[in-house]
Amino acid sequence: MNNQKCTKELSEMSLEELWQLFPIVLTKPNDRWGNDYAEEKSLLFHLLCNMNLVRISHIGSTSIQAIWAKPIIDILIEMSDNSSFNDIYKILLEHDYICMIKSERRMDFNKGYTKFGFADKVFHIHVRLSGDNDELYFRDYLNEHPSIAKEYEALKLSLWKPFEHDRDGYTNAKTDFINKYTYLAKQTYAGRYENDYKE
Amino acid sequence: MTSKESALLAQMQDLGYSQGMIVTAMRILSQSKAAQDDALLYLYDEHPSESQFIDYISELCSSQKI
Repeated sequence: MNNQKCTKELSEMSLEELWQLFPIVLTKPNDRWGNDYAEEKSLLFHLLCNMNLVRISHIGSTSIQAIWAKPIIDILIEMSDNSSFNDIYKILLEHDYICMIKSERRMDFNKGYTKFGFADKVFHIHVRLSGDNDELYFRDYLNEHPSIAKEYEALKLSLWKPFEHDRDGYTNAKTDFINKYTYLAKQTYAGRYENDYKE
Repeated sequence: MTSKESALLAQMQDLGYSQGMIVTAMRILSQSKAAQDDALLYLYDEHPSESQFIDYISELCSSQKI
């Protein structure tokens, strides 16, 4: 990234510039990811504990044991309904999260993206309604089937360089694999993520 | 709801915690029976304020107990 681009704010950059600044990078499995998730979960609980959270979960490749992954911690926050969405939106914006998507049923936030590139710790926060949680099933299936997890790792590594500066292309190329094993996982673990406690 | 969860709920209500926090804490704690044990003892022994209990749950999160 040259210095001229570093003077721009993220909001002023084109998608192409953003993909150059934030390329796809895969790294070997790191024990730190679990700790980073736990610390961020703690912070999120502190910030949002009055918002009727249903569950906070570690999802994404860093939650799958022993595979290479983008060193970005994905966190899923499930809510009982969307009545607190605006409050959550305000709270997270006040605490250095950047909102990427806001709809009636979903909100996505990032933290750790700077105009100079990735910060030391990077998080994607996905706020969803309870039950909108396919990623939990996919995560569990791969953690309980290490050979499938290795297939997923091989797919990701094969896509890394061709899609290094094309995050959408990288994500789309994984879709069939993710859909297949999410389907199998939801059949295998039906009901696993229903809530033990309801109001 | 299990008897332990009922006890947790009652204790938090007795201590006057806000409903939103109680609901969230119950759901978070439902992920770990061991954490429920510890939290119940903490509530019984310390009678923490809501703020102190939020700190306690946050600490459980960061220590990966829940």
